[in-house]
Amino acid sequence: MGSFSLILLPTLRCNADCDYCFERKSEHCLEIDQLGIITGKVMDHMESIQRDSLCIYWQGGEVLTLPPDWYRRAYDLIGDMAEARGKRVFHYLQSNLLGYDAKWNGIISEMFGNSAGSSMDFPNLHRRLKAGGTVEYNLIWTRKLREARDAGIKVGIIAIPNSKTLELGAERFYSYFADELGLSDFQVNTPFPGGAGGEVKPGFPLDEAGLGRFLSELAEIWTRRGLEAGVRLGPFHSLSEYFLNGTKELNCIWRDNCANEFVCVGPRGHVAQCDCWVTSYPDHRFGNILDEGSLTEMLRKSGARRDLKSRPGILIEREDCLECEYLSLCHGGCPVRAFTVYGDLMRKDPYCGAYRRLFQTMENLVDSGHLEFPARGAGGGTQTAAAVAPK
Amino acid sequence: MASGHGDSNLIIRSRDPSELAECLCSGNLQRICHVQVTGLDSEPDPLVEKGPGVPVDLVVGNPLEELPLLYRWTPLLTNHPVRATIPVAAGFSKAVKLAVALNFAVKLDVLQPGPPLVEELHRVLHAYLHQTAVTQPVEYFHSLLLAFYRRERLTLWTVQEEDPGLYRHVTDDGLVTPGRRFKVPDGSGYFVPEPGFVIRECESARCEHIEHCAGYFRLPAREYDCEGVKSLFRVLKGAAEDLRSDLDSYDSGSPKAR
Repeated sequence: MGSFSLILLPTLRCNADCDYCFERKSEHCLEIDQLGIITGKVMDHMESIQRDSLCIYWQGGEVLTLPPDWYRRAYDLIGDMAEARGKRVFHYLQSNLLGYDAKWNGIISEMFGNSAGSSMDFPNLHRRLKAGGTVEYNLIWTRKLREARDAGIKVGIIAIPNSKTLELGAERFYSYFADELGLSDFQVNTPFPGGAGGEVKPGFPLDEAGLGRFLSELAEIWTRRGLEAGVRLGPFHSLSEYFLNGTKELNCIWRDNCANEFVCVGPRGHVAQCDCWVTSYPDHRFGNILDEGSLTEMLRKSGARRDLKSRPGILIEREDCLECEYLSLCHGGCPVRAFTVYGDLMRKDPYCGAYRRLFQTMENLVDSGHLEFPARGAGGGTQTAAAVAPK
Repeated sequence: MASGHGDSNLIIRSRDPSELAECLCSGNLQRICHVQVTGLDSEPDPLVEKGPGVPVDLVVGNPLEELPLLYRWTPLLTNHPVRATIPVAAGFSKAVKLAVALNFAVKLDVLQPGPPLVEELHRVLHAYLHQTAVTQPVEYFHSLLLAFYRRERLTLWTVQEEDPGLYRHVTDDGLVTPGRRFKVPDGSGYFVPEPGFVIRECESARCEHIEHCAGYFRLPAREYDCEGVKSLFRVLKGAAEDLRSDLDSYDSGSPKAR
């Protein structure tokens, strides 16, 4: 019996104003009694598909704009419901940390195993405070990161490269996170022009060749400097495991079909594949879990979900994925990236070339003996929401 | 139909996953070796949750046409070991590539391949032996490689689940047969497999692979030229010897292996 993953957006309220955000924000927040309804229907669905554990990835908006007491009640409610139905629940937190202070320590420890995922870029061009710029954002975020770590919270970071990142190069990028911030757990995700248009969005997707070069160089730097030091850098760490051991614990963008793996529920009960679809593309929602009787039936009947499920099979016929030596790693990549770049779900990921270069680099590093079995004692790492969702 | 076969173990096939799901709930579970889905255009949902642990064999009819359909069956992996049985027909290597990429084991359904198919089999064998991305067994290569490596006696009849002493094929009309390899050339019926009758021919031809092939490729057309398939045996045997040599030198701590 496996697990079921749920990306839960309890609010779309946010205390930041990042100019590349793909979410359409609102002040709406999930009520606790609505959370009970959602949890019940999710557990009904788990029974129908025979899953015994539930992973909830808490994202926003910004999750810490709801008070700690809200999470206390949510944790108790979900825990009681799970116990009554013989299910296990694991909670993961993704926050910008701007609202973090000591009053969060209790619930982060108890509910989230003293771990949290956050995000920062190098250089930060796009993450801004509502009444401030990127510099102020960096100052506050860095202070909050330090406070959280001083409180014993393990923080994993997601970084989104931008055009300046590619210009400055992988060495500077790695040094910022590993040396300046002293992080031992961070991950690189790729940007896409989701949601409403803005001045920044025309800059996405990034130049594919430049991104491929950056990722490839970063892989080599991590192998040289990070591996021995116990730095867990995604996706390089999981790719090295794949090329060394054949294990596939890859990000959602590289699963054979994300539609088989998880769903996302927004604060108004809208259900879609992941947060970008829930918040910004109403036509691609599966339905509303608060309105419909059964999540299982909703998923079974949804045309939007059927489209997503059919995508890899269609890509195999339309694109060159079947000729690719890394088919088993990628399966055409991320649907939301394809849709937001091409306006067509049935296209392969726009970063195909960059991924292939990265996979080739990782394979070469293993074949040449530069990458050996990574020390498993390097720590289990913080499971960030981006393990399942392309935030 | 299952009840008409005494205490025999069963491989149950159907185009309809709902029918198979019913079988898995009917108390026959102890006797079921695996179930075969013969219609990949159906939906897997009924089968996903039923009979956890019972292996499911996805029988591909036309590899090139049906390969995109393999994607819809990956949810089975949550509760079942899954194998794709892929006929060795033009373009089959693409279906093999996708099946292993989806973490399905593969069984090559091979009759008497001509030179172009032997060439394609060599490409698949190379991928099975050498590509990092292939982490699933591809039969019959996998079992033969192990047999060569362990110096065990194992025949393709057993590996391919076609040994008439162990398996019977029940047709859609309920006719119990020894399997398609024993069909008479005009298709009008089956001849009774006489133990050793093809092996004698292989012996007289002094075939070096008789221990593992045991005449498997001599049927149904007795005049089939085995040279192509023999070349596959040779590659497998060589790979097993290389593997043994590598492991021996590793165990002895020789600098070469370190």
